[in-house]
Amino acid sequence: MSFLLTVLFLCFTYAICGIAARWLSAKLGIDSIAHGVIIGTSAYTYALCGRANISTGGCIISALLIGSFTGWLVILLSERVTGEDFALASFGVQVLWLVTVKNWDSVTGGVLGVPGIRSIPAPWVSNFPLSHAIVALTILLFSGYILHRIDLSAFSGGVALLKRSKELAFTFGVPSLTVRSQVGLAYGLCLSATGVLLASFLTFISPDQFGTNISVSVLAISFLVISGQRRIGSGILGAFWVVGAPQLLRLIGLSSTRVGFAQLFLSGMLVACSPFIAAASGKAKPQ
Amino acid sequence: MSNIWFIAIAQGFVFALAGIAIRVQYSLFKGFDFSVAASIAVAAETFTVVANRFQLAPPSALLAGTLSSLTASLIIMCGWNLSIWAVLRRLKKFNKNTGSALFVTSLGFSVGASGLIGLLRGPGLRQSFFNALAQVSLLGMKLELSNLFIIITGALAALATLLWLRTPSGLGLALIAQNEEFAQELGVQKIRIIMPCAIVGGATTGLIGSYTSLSSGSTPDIGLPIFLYGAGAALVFQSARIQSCLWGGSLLGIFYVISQLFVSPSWVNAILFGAVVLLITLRGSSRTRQGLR
Repeated sequence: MSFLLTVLFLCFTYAICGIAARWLSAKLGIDSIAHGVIIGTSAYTYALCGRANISTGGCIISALLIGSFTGWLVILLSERVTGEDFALASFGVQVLWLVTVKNWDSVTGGVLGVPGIRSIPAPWVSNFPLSHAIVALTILLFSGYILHRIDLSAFSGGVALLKRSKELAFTFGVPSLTVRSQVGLAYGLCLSATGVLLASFLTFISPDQFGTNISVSVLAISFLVISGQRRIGSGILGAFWVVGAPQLLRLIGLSSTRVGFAQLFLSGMLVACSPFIAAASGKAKPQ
Repeated sequence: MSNIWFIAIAQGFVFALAGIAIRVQYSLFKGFDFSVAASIAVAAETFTVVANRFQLAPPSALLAGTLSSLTASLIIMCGWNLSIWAVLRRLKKFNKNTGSALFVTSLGFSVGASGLIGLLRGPGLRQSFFNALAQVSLLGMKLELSNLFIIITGALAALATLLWLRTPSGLGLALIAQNEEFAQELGVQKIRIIMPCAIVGGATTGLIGSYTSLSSGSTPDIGLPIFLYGAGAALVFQSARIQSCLWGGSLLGIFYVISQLFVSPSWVNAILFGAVVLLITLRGSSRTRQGLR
């Protein structure tokens, strides 16, 4: 039961990342490979604040603020580079972050990571995985609702103009930097919430947990997310195929590291097939 | 001091070869192609497996390992180039940016390859059995075999690439890099250039894989950081010419080794990755998204 709840928790958590990444792609037309940077930064902030004896609420707020700020910084790159150039730059940021966290022993604990992270207390539910699964589901529903409300707002019109052309947006008085900042902050906030959840659930974090693997897994899930009202359902389903299904391989005796590689393989194949998925699902129209 | 220059030249060749592979794919398909990273990872793994499986004496193990890793990378690059050419042709019928499609598809392929390697052989670093013995004496210096290997084979590969660029298929690639429609009007057929490009990509990535296995061993995701260095070498001089990758790679190699005299090697990696990100960002995407392709 505990195992199934853990899988459920992972599915909900990754679904939040997936819908946020899909939303980012739909709004600004960019695919980031630096999701791990934002999730990792907020997870480390939560862990390190806990170590500094800050209250749990303070840890969560600090992690969300710093995570959102990191998201804003990453998305700010799209002001200068777009398309595959942005994807490559974000990949560079991901690798740079990983090397920096691994080497900054005095603060991040280096490759050994940070153990003994404080869990978010949930006095209303005694079961540890169940409480985290409920919190993750709540955040998922809340994120889906907020992103849906933003889609319906006037803000979305400005973003659509910016996605079409920076010059067109400028002509209509849409400030590119401000719009990108707002999108980046919203995206960063969703991802940093998952960082806090992961740190609280695992009670131990290391740099490799937030490497290219997690970024590619989130990217794979984002390709399976359908925008609009089916966003949350498709996000959970996508997360189940990318993260949940490989976890079930543990039931046949596969070690957790090999399950990680199975997840990587599955994510890679999904990402590789994504242009065909887009073409088949009608996101791309024949000329 | 001369030993340091020797290491710098070796490192420069690694970056330059990765840069050549990336630039050739970039010129041909108009996008960053991560299959280079997949090819390096598979070549490194093949070298380690062959060298350790047969437990040959060092010269024979080096030869067998290099030949097998070259074969593996050539198969990957040839298969990949043909498949992606067909895929991109099909995607062009849809209103899709083929550069982004290539990036995403090749990234998925590369990550999937890393996952498959890890799934089959497990995590961690694997080294060739003769790694510890790999030192040779030359001109009164104790030199690492891996560095000597990449300087000799890298120089040969770079020379062969420069000579190939003077052949009709090499000139065809240069034309495609400048303007694909114009090249087509002049009678350059892309399908006839795909295989020579795959051979150049396969040979360079095969040599990098062999070097990596010899010097530090192989891990499932070894190709990704080398890809980033290669992208830096290909972009540093902002030129579409393949020759500029040699200078770009050499510059990065010298910077990489000299920096290690002052900062720890792992921090040098961070500095260099930061420099590559800065380079990509400063280069920017042009309004027409063509850039310097």
